[in-house]
Amino acid sequence: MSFLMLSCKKATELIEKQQVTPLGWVEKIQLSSHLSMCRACSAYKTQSKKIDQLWRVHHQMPGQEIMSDAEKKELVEFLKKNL
Amino acid sequence: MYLIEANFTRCSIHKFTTTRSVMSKPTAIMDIDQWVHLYADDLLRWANTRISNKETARDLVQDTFLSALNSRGSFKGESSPKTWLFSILNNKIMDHYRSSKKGVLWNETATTQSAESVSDELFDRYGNWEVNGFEDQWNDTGNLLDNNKFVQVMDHCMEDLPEQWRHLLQHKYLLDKNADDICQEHGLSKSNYWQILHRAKLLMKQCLEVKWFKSQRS
Repeated sequence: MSFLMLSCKKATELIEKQQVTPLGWVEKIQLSSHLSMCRACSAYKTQSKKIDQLWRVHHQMPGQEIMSDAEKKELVEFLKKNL
Repeated sequence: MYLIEANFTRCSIHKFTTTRSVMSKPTAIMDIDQWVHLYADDLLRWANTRISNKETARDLVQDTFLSALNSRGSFKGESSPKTWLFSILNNKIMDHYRSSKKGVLWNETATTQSAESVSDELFDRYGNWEVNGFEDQWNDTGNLLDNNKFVQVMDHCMEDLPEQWRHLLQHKYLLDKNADDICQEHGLSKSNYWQILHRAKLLMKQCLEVKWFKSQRS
């Protein structure tokens, strides 16, 4: 196997690595070369971004209030009593 | 009771935090009202994802604030209050599982190992994809999270991830920490860190495809 040929497994690893730390120039060439030839891994790159978005929203759930003001007040009172 | 409000700036400029954390000076008194209003929702939301019993989840959040109050002397303001409260909550969740009569389902090493082998199995021995064909299904993911059924599937898939991995995801996506901080706090190399993220994403992809996208196929 030529040194340019990445496995899909390795390609997906580099796609993630790239998000955290810059790739070396060899890795960059290997990855773009693989992606230009591999539909599954190109798709994975998109999916990876989508999962990223899903995780962000899953964790942050903006605007979703689950403790009412009354409940929060109750909690504050309880805490003050137990100081 | 007052908190000295200050813009919380990080030493590392890699990640711009979108929420302005309120930092208290070491000697300032913890403002209970403010902390409950700022953090109770996030804490409860998180507790609900970890504990199936809503009552218990609420109790743990209450206990978290109580513990925080009782040990406020030890909060030096080195991390944000949110981080500190979450670490207290996470410990309480762990304690809850340990003491729960239902038994501790975690042998964390085993869970991580089995998760690793599942993600490895997505590729054949040459490193090519074993399972394929769902590329197009991901195109219409626009408003998926508005769909309650999808949210349930997503929650389910998150549950399948090892605790350690979920912990890292929490630090990254909920607490908005950058890679350097996460690595340092958890004693991970950068390489370990992105490898875990990589495996977690593979598992999520697999899980979502099997549990959601497959059934959406007409």
